[in-house]
Amino acid sequence: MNPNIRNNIIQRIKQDELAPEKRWRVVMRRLLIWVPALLSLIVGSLATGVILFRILHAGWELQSVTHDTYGAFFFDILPYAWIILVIILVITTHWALRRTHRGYRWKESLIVLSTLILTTLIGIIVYQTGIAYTIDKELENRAREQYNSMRSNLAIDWHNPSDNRFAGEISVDSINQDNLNTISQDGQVWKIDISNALGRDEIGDARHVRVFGSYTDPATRDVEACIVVPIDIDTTNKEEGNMMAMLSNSDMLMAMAEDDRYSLSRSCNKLLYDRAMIIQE
Amino acid sequence: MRRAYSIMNIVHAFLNLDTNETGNGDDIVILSDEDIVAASITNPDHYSILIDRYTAPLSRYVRRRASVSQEDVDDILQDVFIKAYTHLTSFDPRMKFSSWLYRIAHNHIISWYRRHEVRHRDRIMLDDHDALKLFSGDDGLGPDVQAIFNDDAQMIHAALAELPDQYRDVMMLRFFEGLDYDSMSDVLKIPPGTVATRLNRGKKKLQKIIDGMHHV
Repeated sequence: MNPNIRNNIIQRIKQDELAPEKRWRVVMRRLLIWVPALLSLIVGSLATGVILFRILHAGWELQSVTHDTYGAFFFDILPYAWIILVIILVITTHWALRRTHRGYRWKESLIVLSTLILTTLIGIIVYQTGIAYTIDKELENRAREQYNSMRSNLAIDWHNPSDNRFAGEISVDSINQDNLNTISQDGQVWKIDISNALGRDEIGDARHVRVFGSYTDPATRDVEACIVVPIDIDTTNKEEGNMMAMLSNSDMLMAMAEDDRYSLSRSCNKLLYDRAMIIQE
Repeated sequence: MRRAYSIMNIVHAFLNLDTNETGNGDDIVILSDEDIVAASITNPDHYSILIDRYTAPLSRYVRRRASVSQEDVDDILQDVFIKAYTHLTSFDPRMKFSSWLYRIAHNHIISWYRRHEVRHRDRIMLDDHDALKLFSGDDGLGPDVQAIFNDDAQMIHAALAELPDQYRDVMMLRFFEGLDYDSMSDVLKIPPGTVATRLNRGKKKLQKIIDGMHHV
């Protein structure tokens, strides 16, 4: 042992008045790294909740009407931006946990697995309590140009005038209770006659509707509605009005077309009948 | 017979006996690193005990890690001990003090490499006595490698220098510094399982490099 090394070190400590770092600084530094870990976990859980909400309320009962196959429907409804966000946040959580005081001793698989499990469990709570629905709605309210809520996506998926399907937000200047002005997601205004439509009494205070009907005048976008249902999703996350699901059932369509109790117009009866024929083919 | 001593007794022992032991005759008490760390936080003179304890092993470790002059070794050692002193309050008694010190030394050496642009090949300096340790213990290299070593010891040195850093680090800590897996985990800040994996892969890789060199 070289005594000079010892003496030089002690001398330098005393000369430069070096001292061990204050204990509270050490504790603060160790606690601070938990902040990004917990923040990432919380935001990741919120995002997971929104993913669950958007997948579970994507209009599965109408898949046969809006899409040709379940596969096409599934890939269409996946909230890719949210999924990417969750992946990034899981990575961030992992990074931060690794840098905690004893985090280096934990197995990789343990960190990743526990992060995923925690995120999923908290995400389920976020979904069940309606927080996911609120986040989705508020994001659209605050960033309408950049973000489509679940409700907007349902309208987008449904709106296909060439297939007699229309969807949009009821305009505040709607004419009367028999006629609605709706604005589709692409900004076009549609005049919907719902005077003889099934479901017209269920609209209530809903602001968004799905319509099955036919053009009366394509130039002016006048539509006669045969079926109208709201597409608002309430805070308990139940979608209202899956009456439209019958549009994929030829027997039901035929029954409606031939049953006078529904008081549908002749053009609506023909529309329903023709659709039933197409399905049977 | 061992006895527990209070911090004040440690002070008394140090000032009177100039040693890291206290008591006399059969009544010897070895002060633990943790006790000395606690005393050093308030009085740097006690830190000398730790310096005396670890100068020799750290000095060997530094010399093995790079082909540097004795002057550079001393400079590195001083920096390591100074850094350890200023960070004494962050030492966690759940790990061994030696592991913590080796961690500081390991990181400091890596910084030193970068500052002085030490070539990859120069990042190791062993003597034959050191190299023999590669073959010791249940997890040492096999007799076939030892046979090659007996013929050409330099080949083993060259092969070790060719190993990727992550494997060489665990190989050196395991075989030359004699650290266990937990200690290596604390030094390198990786899970103990990863230590075992890297050690296993390091040995295989070393074997492959040696085979390649031997058959050229």
